[in-house]
Amino acid sequence: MYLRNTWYALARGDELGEGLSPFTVLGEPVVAFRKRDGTPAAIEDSCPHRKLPLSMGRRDGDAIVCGYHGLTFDGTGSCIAAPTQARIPSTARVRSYPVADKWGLVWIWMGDPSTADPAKIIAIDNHGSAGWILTNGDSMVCGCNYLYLTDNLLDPSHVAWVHVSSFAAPGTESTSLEVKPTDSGVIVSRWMHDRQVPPFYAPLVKFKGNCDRLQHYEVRYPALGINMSIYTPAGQGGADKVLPADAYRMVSYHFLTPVDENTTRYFWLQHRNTDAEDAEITAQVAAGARRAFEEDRVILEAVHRGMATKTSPHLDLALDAGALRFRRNLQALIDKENGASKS
Amino acid sequence: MPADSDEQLAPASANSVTFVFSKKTALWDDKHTSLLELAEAHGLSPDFSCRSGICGTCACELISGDVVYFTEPLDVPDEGMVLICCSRPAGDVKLKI
Repeated sequence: MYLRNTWYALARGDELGEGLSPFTVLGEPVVAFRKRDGTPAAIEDSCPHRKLPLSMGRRDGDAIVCGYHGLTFDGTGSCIAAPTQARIPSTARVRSYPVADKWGLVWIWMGDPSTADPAKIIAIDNHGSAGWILTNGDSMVCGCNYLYLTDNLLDPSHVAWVHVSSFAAPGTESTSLEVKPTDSGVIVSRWMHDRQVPPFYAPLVKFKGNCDRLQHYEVRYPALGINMSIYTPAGQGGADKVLPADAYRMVSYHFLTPVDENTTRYFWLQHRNTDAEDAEITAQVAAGARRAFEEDRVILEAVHRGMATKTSPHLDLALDAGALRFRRNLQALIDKENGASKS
Repeated sequence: MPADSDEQLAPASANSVTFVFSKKTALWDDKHTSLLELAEAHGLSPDFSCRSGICGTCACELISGDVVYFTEPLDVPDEGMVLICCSRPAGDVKLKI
């Protein structure tokens, strides 16, 4: 079961064009394309006649012609031609999905179309502020349920073992975590004081020597991760401090779209407040992120398999508090949505 | 209450915690964080994993009395059960440990 009345990232903006691009989202087949005016459209990828994927058909203007018998559907899912019939069957209709471009991605609304508001697509704080740069990011497909990714994005501890060459540094294995449920999700965070700057960030921060370091791991319902790292010179960081001007901030946004129960499309963007004009650093940051997320992918795919086929009980650790709280609250939202749609 | 069960010095008003299976009674002392820590300090070894109220491993039967949670459990324990890793006694309690 999934939360439906929410925006999921469907594709990178440049993935969609004139051609018919097939996707699976929340287990449903979707075909997406850009109309002649450049705006995206998405409809059910399944002809109501014999369920041939419409993505195997062809474009005709802003419509799709089924590759089996020519039933033709426009971007709203209405059948506008049935060449083998004198009249278009009244039941010939496919589902259409609201879609919108934002942050270089195409977003899709899988729930009640009447409640889809593109203004509710996630906001990026400080976007457009002087000195900040948003990188285009990237995506990958992970062979695991999306909740293993939300677990991971609420787990600052794993970096000490999974990301040894990038985000790990003394302190990441054992400094205690603060778990804070919010109206929109859960935040797990901690400040670590007077520590080494980890390898990924060492060339990026604008000061020498040890640091105070914030790990802010936030996931908003149902699957939007916001991972904020702040580095200040040692002695200048902390929840109660006004941070110095040379505080380094990097915010990674993670958008998880369930393909089905066993597969997740993982999109990310990065937003930072230093070296905005430096393309080399942008490339280095992007490559570093991809490398790190590949490290996560290998672990989480094996975790999914391990949990799905376990032959003995698993256990929970204190570090799971945020992730499990998130799962409980998300399930309550999903139950509520299902209850509301049935009544 | 077995008279020889508590070796600690504690205020006369301290809550007593009786571990019924183990036939031990202890007086609560705020130097312990949780009932689990109190049990361990008295040589008992209840099962645990997370020690933070989320996994339910330490759930045990509360025979009498009441506890207060200093961390809200992720799931409310079944009727008559308490999580000892994240609770303290509220008055005298008897636990099936």
